[in-house]
Amino acid sequence: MMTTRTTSRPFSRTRLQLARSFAALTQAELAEKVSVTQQFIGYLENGRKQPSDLVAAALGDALGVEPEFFLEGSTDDLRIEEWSFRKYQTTPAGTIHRLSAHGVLFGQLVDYLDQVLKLPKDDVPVIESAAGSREQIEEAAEQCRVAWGLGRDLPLKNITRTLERAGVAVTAIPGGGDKVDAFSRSSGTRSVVVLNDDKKFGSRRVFNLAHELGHLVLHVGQETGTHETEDQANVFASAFVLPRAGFVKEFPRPKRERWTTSYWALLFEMKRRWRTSVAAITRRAFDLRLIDALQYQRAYKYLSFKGWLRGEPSNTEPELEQPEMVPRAFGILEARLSVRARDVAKALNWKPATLEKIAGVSVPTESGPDDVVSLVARRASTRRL
Amino acid sequence: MEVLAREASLARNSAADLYDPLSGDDPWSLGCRAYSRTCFRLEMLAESGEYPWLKITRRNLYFTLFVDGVPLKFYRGSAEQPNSRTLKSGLDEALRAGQERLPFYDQEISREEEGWFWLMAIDTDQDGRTLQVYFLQANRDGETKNIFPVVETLSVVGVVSDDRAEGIDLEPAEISVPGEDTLSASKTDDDDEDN
Repeated sequence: MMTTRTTSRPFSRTRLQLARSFAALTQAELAEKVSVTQQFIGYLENGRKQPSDLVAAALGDALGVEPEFFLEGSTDDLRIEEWSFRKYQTTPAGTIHRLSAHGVLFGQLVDYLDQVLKLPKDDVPVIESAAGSREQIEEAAEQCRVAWGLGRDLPLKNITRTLERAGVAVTAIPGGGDKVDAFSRSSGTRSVVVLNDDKKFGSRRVFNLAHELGHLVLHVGQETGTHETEDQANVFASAFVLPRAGFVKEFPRPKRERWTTSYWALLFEMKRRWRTSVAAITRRAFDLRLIDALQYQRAYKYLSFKGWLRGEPSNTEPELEQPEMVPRAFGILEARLSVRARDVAKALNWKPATLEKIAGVSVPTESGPDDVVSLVARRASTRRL
Repeated sequence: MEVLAREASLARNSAADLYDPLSGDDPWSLGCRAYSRTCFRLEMLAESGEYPWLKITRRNLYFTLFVDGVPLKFYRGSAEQPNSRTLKSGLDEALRAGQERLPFYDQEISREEEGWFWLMAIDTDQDGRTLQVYFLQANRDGETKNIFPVVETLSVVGVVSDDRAEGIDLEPAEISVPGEDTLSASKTDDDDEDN
């Protein structure tokens, strides 16, 4: 194949890796789609060769981006270590790459939105020194609640909003599989939390959001995914969602050795109010020594016997929270600045289908001329280069 | 002593996290992995030099902790009912090393009569994750005494608001266009519908 290039800007190998990871294609699969050899894709990804315009266009078509996408800066490589994954060691590498790529692209979208709109500033307190004893983590969670005006003893009705108001960009993506609940990144211009939209339990989502917040508060710049950091994030989540001052006040003390049906009903009532699973509530009660190890063990056995450790009854689950900030930003862009979703895709050099996957917004088919781009979108796009 | 409990707990939880029955794991493989990881973490702790009172003897699967020279065997199970294998190995160690007393927290324990030895029990839940770690003394007959649960101290702070107050209900995040006033969620949503 002839290799002619009409641009002097270098082809970004990291952007190719990013787009290929997002598309979940192996080098061989991508090579087949664009009719080149796998070896050639390898050369492109290690920077030994540059593609012709024709091949760059074919790569873009195969990966859901415009050819210009590959010419941009090289600062968007995957850097998987920046993302906090639970079960990192047991999650397939391909899944981690695909999800990380999704997170990176979502971060690019948020960067763009940051340039055309005023989003809440990143206001996540960083309390790295708290990642020590359980008491320190409890205090860190309380500091966080106090800093955001949430008090120390009340349930949160919407934790997604809580995070978004603190400047955390939250998104939910399908296809996360069984292994991954959520993952997050605290580097970049703002913190990002990505939820697995395949997991439909509302109480689990609440806890996942708080768990990722724990990483953002406690583990900035640290490698996560270890058992210690995951346990710390769990302690933080528990303390943030079920703060001890409120929990101690409301947790019903069991009066009998064997918990009765009516006692379990009280726990499910507590779940309704605190939007957290009964399993998490009983664990919290044990951690705060409101029940002893034997009582907790019996409760755990019962939860297991009922199959509630895999999922508690759907009619007791809180509504599944959905991210709001980015979808609302699209509404405001169009209403106030006449910037349509299609313009955003163009500014980012993504195909519309890619924007739909990343942002969860529909990108209507363009009826007018294809080269008409909003001025605001174009200016923001220019500033990014 | 809390540091021993913490390391043992982390080791066991890390093994439990990897437990995958669908790939052929069973309680035996979980137990083997948990044992090896616990030995490893405790050995690393002893080698760190931060705990001069802690010594380890390890030969293949044989493993014993020494706290200020006093042998301490660990096992998974109830603190009240150590099994016969644990009792035998604990007694063997005690006879080998001679029994000494151990200080726990601020309490002083009187010198024990012969035949009693120290154990660390790791009590677990159904998934094999740590529920509680205990230090205890046992004898060859399976009797136990001085059972100390290791608890990470948590203070319970006072209540600061009225009973059953409503939960915190926040407005959506504020978004504005540079140069314009902040758009409230309701205003924006209405505007979007109008458009």
